Amino acid sequence: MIEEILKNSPPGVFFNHIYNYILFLRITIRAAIGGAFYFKEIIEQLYQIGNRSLSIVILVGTFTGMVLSFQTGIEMARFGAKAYIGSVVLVSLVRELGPVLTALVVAGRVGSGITAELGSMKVTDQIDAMRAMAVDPYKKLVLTRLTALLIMLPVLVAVADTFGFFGGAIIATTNLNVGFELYKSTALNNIYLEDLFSGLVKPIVFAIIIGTIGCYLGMNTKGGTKGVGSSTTLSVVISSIFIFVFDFILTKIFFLVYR
Amino acid sequence: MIKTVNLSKNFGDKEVLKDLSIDFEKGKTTVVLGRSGTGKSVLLKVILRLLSIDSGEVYIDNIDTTDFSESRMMGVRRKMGMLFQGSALFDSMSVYENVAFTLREHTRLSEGEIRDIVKEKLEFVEMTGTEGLMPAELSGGMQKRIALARTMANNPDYIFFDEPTTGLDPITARTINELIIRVREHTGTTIVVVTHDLDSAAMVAQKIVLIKEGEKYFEGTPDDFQRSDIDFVKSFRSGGKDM
Repeated sequence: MIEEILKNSPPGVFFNHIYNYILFLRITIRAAIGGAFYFKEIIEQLYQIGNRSLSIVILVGTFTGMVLSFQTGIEMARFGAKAYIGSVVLVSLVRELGPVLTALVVAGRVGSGITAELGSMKVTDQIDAMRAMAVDPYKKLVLTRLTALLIMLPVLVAVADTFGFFGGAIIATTNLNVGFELYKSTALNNIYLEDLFSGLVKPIVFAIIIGTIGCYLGMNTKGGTKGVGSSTTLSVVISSIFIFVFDFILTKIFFLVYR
Repeated sequence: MIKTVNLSKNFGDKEVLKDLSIDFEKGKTTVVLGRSGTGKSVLLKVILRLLSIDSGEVYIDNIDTTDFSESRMMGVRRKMGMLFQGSALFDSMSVYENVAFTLREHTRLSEGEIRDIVKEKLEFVEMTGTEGLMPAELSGGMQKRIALARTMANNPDYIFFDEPTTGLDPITARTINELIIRVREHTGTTIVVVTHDLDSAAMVAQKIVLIKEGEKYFEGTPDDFQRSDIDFVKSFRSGGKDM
């Protein structure tokens, strides 16, 4: 009785999730070693993720660049430093806003989709049917989605950064009277290898967060269609929180290493 | 042959299977009868190790699989097939892709050979011409038949049917029962059916096992079942009138 109450209390549920998530990671890592490789499924997932997210990532990137350029440009103009607007926009996008905003978009569009799809399969016995047919669902469903996210998220971040850079350029040239050549040269002269490295590592970590949380919650869905709904919402909420938490941790690490 | 020895399974404090010892004889159809929620489906899932075993043993072809890891069970499962209560067809795949699934996963057959097998299995379940349809476009009975075709695709030695006639009209239920008999007659497959449907049991069973709250109350031929004086058997036979 006491054990049951403890298990269903919020800390009990939390630690149960942590335990099951670690178990999920162990099974996924084991599934990654040897056996069948689902190349066709990975390509399909790459298309799905790209297709679901590309247009919204372009929009988010462009408008973030424009707002960033506008807001900081006006302030920098007061100190006579608006010539460096290109540098501020590009460094902010590459180091911070590109990875975080793209990851949030992908968590909402793709992570939730993964949870809903796997959750529906779980509650309708399709996952068990796959196991009964001697096919490992972790290999066939989880690893393919995780691999595709690991490849596609950095690509989407690069797209967001690029469109953000040009969005910023539109505002710099039309509102701030900064020429495109000056905007471009200050930007490119002030971007360093460590910024690009940070911009690459963050999406990889965020892809692991979105993919593993999305798949874990999907594969552990219970309670019919209501359970699918709860898992899907939880997937977006938890992924978003972890994206912000790990963004801070990674930023701190990069500053400690490079400064 | 499949044999369970003192098999037990708990969910929290609830004992779902209690010391269950059953022999599922080779080439025969065994029907496990029982009221809803008595652990019949759990029994099938435990034998397939879709659920873990708490205590007891499971022998498949005289090999003790009790301590088999998930990867070793994958090898065992290739000899088995299960038709789930809700059919569990992959809803993102067409009928053709569903039936071809195990062949694509476990064989190196060409697409032409796979197409021929899919056609043959769909003919067997009388669902020719449905290859391009999606599961959502099929009725419950049609889904069951497609799920059977999928289960039979790699010619398993054992097929488990979980409540095959539940939710179907009497005519469709009869069609599914006839299919179960045809599977055994044509392939010699060992069949285990779990159901609460007495008509279905009477039609397909060569052996009947009756369980109540995870415990075995009866094991014998359909004739023995009809003649049995055990109170619960009498009560189950009469639909609770003798209770």
